[in-house]
Amino acid sequence: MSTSSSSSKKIVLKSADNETFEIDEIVALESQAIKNMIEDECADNVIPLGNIDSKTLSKIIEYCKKHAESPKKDDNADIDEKAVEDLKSFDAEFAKVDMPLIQDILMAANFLNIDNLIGLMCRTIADRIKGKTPEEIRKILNINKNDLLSPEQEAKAREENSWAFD
Amino acid sequence: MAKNKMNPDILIWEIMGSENDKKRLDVEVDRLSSLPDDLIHKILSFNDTIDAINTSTLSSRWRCIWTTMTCLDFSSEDFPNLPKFSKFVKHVLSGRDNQREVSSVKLSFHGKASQVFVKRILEYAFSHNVQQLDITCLAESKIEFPLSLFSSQTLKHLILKKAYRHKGHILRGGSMTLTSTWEVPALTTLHLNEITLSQDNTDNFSGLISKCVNLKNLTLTRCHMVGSSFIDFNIFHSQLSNLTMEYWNVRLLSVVAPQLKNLIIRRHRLSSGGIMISAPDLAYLLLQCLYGLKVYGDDFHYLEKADISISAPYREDPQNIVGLFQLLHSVKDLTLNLEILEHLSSSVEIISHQHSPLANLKSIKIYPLLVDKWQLPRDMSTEVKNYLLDGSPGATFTMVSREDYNTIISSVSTYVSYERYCIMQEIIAERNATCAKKLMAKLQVRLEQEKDDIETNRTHIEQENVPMESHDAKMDDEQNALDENQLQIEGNVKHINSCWESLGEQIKQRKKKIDDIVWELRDIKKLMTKLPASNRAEMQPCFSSLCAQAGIVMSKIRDSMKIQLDENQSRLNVCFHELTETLQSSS
Repeated sequence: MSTSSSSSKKIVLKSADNETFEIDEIVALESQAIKNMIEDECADNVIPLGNIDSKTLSKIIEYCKKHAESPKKDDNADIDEKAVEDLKSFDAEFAKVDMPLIQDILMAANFLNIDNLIGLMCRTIADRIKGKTPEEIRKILNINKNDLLSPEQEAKAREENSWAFD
Repeated sequence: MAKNKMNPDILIWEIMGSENDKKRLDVEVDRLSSLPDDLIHKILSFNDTIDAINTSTLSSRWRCIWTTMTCLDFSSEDFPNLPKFSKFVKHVLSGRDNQREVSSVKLSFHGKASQVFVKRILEYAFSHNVQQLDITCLAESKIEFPLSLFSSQTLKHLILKKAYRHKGHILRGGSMTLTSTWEVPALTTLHLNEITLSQDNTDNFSGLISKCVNLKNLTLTRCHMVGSSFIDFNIFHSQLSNLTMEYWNVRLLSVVAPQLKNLIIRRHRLSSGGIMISAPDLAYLLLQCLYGLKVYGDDFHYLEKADISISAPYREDPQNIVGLFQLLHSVKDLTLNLEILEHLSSSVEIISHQHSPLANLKSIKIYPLLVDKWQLPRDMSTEVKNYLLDGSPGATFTMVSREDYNTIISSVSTYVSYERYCIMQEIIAERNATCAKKLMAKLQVRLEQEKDDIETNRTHIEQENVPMESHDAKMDDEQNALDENQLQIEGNVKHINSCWESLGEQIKQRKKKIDDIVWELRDIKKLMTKLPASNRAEMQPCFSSLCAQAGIVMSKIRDSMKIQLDENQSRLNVCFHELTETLQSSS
């Protein structure tokens, strides 16, 4: 292990499939939920994340690392435009994954309370369903087939909102 | 491919994904529908309201989700005409869950502000405790916006804007004035853009902002004054913390704001009246204008940072510059454009025998703007530099030369702030570094190639001599059979000519090779001189080794040229010898 970072405090996360991830505390602080745990001194041992699998968790750690590294916008007038650009292109690349993983990341980010990541995933989903027909959206989002409206209900819903689509 | 029912998007992701993802798809879990409403709302808030309504037929989970959204986004541009838009607004507001509060509303519309849908949306928003409003008016005529429409105890953020551009066109002829007055006591952030303000009648601007007792952030962009654009303008506010004024001109600007921390005045053409600032708590000041640094007011005791630039300094009274320095006496971090100091250098007598008022400087940065040098005959004098620094001997002094600046900024016409310059410099340095690295890698490959070529060429030359002799031998045979002498002479002359030609060609090619290598090295060198010292040092060993290798390759090319010349010489000697023999025997 590197000696330079040994001074910083480490946090260990455990995924649903029992994989452990050791990360710097500063990275973990990106998650408001973990931050609260650390502040309440409940994070001394391994933090079990029983509802997040290792693939999703490693993706989330990748995101938090990058965002923890980049300089934060301070309230002074000069914002480092280059860092902002860099983070933007990282986010764009980060979001290029399949829809099930995006949804898993969104749920996990919601659980861990990582505000920026929630926003990024929501925007990604919004972009993918923008301007699509309901049938296309059902496929993209894998909408539960048992929950579909009956033809009568659907006709009624359509009728109700017909004004919007004149 | 069991999932041929999937749409192409998903198929692509699936192919890209791992086995794990395929398993996920097999399970066919509808993850999104299990999310809490507020997350689905957040997703829908990124798209138009019409897209949100569109989701109501997806499934029973989605049936009513749009009706509880707290962000509304209306744009009349999405509709063929205003009556259709108005109808849409009416239906959305009546179809929405009336119990649910509204947190933010965005409205962009054509036509007059008195239209019924504007009123309807605002009334609905205020009655549902809206906190954030963003209104854009796409007017091409003179319209009035009655502020009596604004009556809210909850509104915190308001952006009111007359679009300056719409779909790439500048909207000419349109203007928006504010009439009557408002009740928005909770407002903390106000941004007015392209609005015509009045200063002297009853619903004047000072009156308007004095009603916003909690106002912290005020931004005025491209605003105008009613009647003349060149009259005095006052901002008095006891709570204001951040004030930004961009792209507009007034005769005298007065700011009285005891809580003000950040003041930004950008691209302002100030004139005789100057700026009066009373803001004892000010921590940051940015002044970016044509000229007119006539700034006066109370002391800034807590000023941390100031960035001052003027793009027509030759029109500035040097006394104003000195006056401004006196006002900035407590600043720690000061950025100035070089031309201010060059201009001051031409009136150096006003600072001689004076001490610098700048007593707390930690750092001072000087950079040039693209001001024509002929307007400012003087370079920055050492007196001016000493004057700046003599109050703070420990301050770091950073200066960007005009040459460095010009190479970086040549693509931009005017006015680049120091911060922006640093960013651009960094970007360009990075680009130059990668470019230099690429060129070096390319040259490396080329040199390897040349080395190989020289080796094969050498063996080639050695082999070439063999068929040459057999060619001669063949000629010997033929010579016996035919009219020997004549042919022999012709053959020899042809051969001599071809030897010269091929030699000429070879020399030309090699010369080009050497030239190319030299040019490439020169390009890399040029790029490297533009790099910051640290990058240059990092690349120097690689460049030196490349130069050494290039030297070896070039001397090898020269050697091979020499060998070839010698070869040619001896071949020619043989030819000449044969020729003379033939000629002698024929005579």
